[in-house]
Amino acid sequence: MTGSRNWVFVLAIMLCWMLRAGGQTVLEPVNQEVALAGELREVHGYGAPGYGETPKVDAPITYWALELPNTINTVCTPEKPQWEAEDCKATKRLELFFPSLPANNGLELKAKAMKGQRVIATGILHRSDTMGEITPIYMNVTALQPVQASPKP
Amino acid sequence: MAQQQSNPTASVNGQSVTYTYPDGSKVTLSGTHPFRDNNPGDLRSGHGSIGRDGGFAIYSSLDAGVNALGATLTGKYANSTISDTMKAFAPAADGNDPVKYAAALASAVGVPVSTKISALTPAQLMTFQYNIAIKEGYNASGNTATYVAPPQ
Repeated sequence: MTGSRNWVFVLAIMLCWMLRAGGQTVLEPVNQEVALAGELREVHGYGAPGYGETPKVDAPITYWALELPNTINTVCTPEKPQWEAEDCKATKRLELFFPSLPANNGLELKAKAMKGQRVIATGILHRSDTMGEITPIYMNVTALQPVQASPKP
Repeated sequence: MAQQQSNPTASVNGQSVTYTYPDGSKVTLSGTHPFRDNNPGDLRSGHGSIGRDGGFAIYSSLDAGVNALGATLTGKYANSTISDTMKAFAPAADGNDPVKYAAALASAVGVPVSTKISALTPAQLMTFQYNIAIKEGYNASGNTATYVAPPQ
């Protein structure tokens, strides 16, 4: 697939599934694959027990993330209306989960080779249920490909 | 131990959470999030939580938190393997390889890492839950619980 075709694919998905709401892009429906473009990064952060609250004792962690150009959100129902700000956070950083073998299909090796580059990540978005899922929304990745510069006309 | 008639309310103050019961008695839990929030799975929300503490759900009791973790495992993660599920609870860290950890955990309950959560027996699931709680820091040293009797 060429670079320009990639962009058409991404834009088509964006146009179908995006709603602008309060300065963030709401992606829907959930439970279907989406393709999002951004910078692929290996991020260093903090794990249990404080997930950043107590950096001296929290485990240093490393995770794959897609840095998006815009803030996104998913359709979300908070457990109680007063907790909407915490339960339905938007994000510009998506943690990326690669499936374990055999479904992994070399995805993590691909990611290592494309670290720091603009990529298109395809997969299913989920709202995080645990603090171990570091970002408010994450993607279970099924495909990863580099964004190639569009040829000049 | 007598059961409380209804849920307490929770108020957060720094690294402490005070639970106030309908009879006016209070329990203050201080320390790590999983301990002070009665949330051994470090869940963000759901399953009848009673508050929020910096993004972590607060549960009314340890039992409620353990049940919430169990419901999350047998709900959202039912069709996930032990290996993939552990990535959600034990992010990769220096000296903490979730793949190795999942392998050790699977071995402890006598199944391969490719086993789906839905295939675990209740005893295996309980073992799994308590190992997650330990991994999340429920048992960290320095955690304290303080009781204040109801006003006379």
